[in-house]
Amino acid sequence: MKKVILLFFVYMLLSPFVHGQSTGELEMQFRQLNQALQAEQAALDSLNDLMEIKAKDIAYEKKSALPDQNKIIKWMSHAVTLSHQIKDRQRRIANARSEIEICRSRLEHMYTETIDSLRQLERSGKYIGDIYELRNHLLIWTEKRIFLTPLVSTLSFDPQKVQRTELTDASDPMDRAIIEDYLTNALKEIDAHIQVVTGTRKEFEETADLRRRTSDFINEAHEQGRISSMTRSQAFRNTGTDIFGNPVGQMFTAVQVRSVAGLMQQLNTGTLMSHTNKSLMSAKTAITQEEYIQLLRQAENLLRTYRSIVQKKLK
Amino acid sequence: MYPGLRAGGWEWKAGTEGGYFRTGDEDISGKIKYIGAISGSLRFDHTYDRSSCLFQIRLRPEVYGPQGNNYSINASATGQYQRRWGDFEINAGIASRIQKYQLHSNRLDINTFQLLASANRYFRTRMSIGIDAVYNKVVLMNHTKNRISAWSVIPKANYFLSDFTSMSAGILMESYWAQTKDIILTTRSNRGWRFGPELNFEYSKSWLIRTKYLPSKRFFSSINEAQVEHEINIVFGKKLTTHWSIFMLADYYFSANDSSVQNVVYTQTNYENRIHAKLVYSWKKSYSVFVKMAYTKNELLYEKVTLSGTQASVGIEFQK
Repeated sequence: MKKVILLFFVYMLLSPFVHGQSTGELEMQFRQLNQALQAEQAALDSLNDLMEIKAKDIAYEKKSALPDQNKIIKWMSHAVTLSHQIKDRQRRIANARSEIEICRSRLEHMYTETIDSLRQLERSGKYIGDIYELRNHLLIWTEKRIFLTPLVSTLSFDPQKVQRTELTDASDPMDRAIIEDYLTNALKEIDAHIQVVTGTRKEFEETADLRRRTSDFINEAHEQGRISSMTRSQAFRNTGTDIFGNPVGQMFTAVQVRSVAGLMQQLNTGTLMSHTNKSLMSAKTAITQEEYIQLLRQAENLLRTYRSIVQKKLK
Repeated sequence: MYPGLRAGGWEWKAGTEGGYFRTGDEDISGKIKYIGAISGSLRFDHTYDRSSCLFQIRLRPEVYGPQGNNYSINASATGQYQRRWGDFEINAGIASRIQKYQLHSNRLDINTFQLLASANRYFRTRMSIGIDAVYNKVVLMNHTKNRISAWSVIPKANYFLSDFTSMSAGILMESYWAQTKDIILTTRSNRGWRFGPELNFEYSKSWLIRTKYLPSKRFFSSINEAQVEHEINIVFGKKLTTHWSIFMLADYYFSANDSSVQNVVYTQTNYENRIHAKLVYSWKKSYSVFVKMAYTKNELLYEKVTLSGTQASVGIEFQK
């Protein structure tokens, strides 16, 4: 029994060193990252609103009887600046989300290890302290883990509700305006997701393409007048890379995969409902860059399909 | 696990190039002014569940002109298999390569056979540790026949600083055996081992840089003093625009070989330096034209043969 208690406390003591950060520090970091994300999101919303106003102004001015070209040029220049700012914010949001997911995964791992240790203590039946206090601790840690367990709330609207909603169902103009507003906001959100997913997918695709082409170039160069043929000769494409030229050691674990998979699941398309794909949601799932790109591509297609459904409802 | 996520399949590539070539060999420098080459490769890869396999053959004959019968042929075949179970991955491969050089009066044939096995275990998001084991057999024929075989093991740790930046460190441990058969002299052999740290760094996003540094010490059974060698590789790649890309490679290898152990040492060269640069214009994903600049200098240990040259050529490639 003493051994079990001792092991538990040794684990709790060593845990910060093993993980590099204590649980408290990590929780603090998680909170700060979420706050930063919210701030970034608010800034992005403001920029999107400004952009919308600017676009309307330009369109209005262009349609006027005597359009003021100077004014249009000035506004368009401002719109370009806004567009850059929006892209920059979107990139920052994507990075923040990724960091949050890493942090979330580490916290989840820490909580799980602590819960397992406490459960072991409880089951051993040899715990001499206050068993209720032990169970209380178990409850607190479980609660903390539950807080983390839900997937990233990628969509703020209910996709199923959107699918059921029709403008023709509106009973009066006010009701119609509400439904229209709901669908428009859903569309905006889907567009934002498409931008992030497409941006990430393109970024990784371009990197993979550059790696593949660089590997080809290395092979070609080494075919020319390369005499040495021992370990320095790289018959196997390039040392340190896998079959597809990606560096060995890079795996996209649950942190990145789950946010994309979660988004797909929320869209409720059934794609992720198969037994094999369910493991995508597992915290232990790790996939390669190649598979991650394919997953992003699937998510993008789903979002685009969903977008056309929503858009059709607005017509 | 993700059937259909990756299609895989057949890929082929064919190309030709030609241009200026200046050899570093003074005896034949007057005879060689240009280089012409054709190259082709065929590749098949397939992924199912968590297994991937790759098969690849490559061929590149080169002719040097306008005078003399100077040419080189380079052919290789590679097969590789990769499988993953959760966070554990294995890799196995086999490769064979034939190189033939007919330059001036020197005829040099090199046959290489290589086996690879590696295992990697992934930890958390960005870290893995693994081990590479490689067997090499080389038969090098000129006036003498050199046979060299070596086993090497490299335990290494890989760490991703971000999604696009990685570094790895490992330790090379190698045991080798070399034998020289000479028509005049008696057959001699030598065995030894070498070790050294291997450091790698890669950044790849909108541009790519990959570096490797491997200093090592080599020990022989025939002499007591250890010899030092250095190897540095730098690769750079960047997509300049939608169509234009540039690639550069610089290899530096230096071995402080002692002449007393010539012909029976592990490596065939005293030094190998090369700089390659390629500017590519691609369109429709299947066609590309390129301008290539290359400088190579290899000094073979025995017979004091130097294979060197400067090249400036243009070429075209097709791929599917």
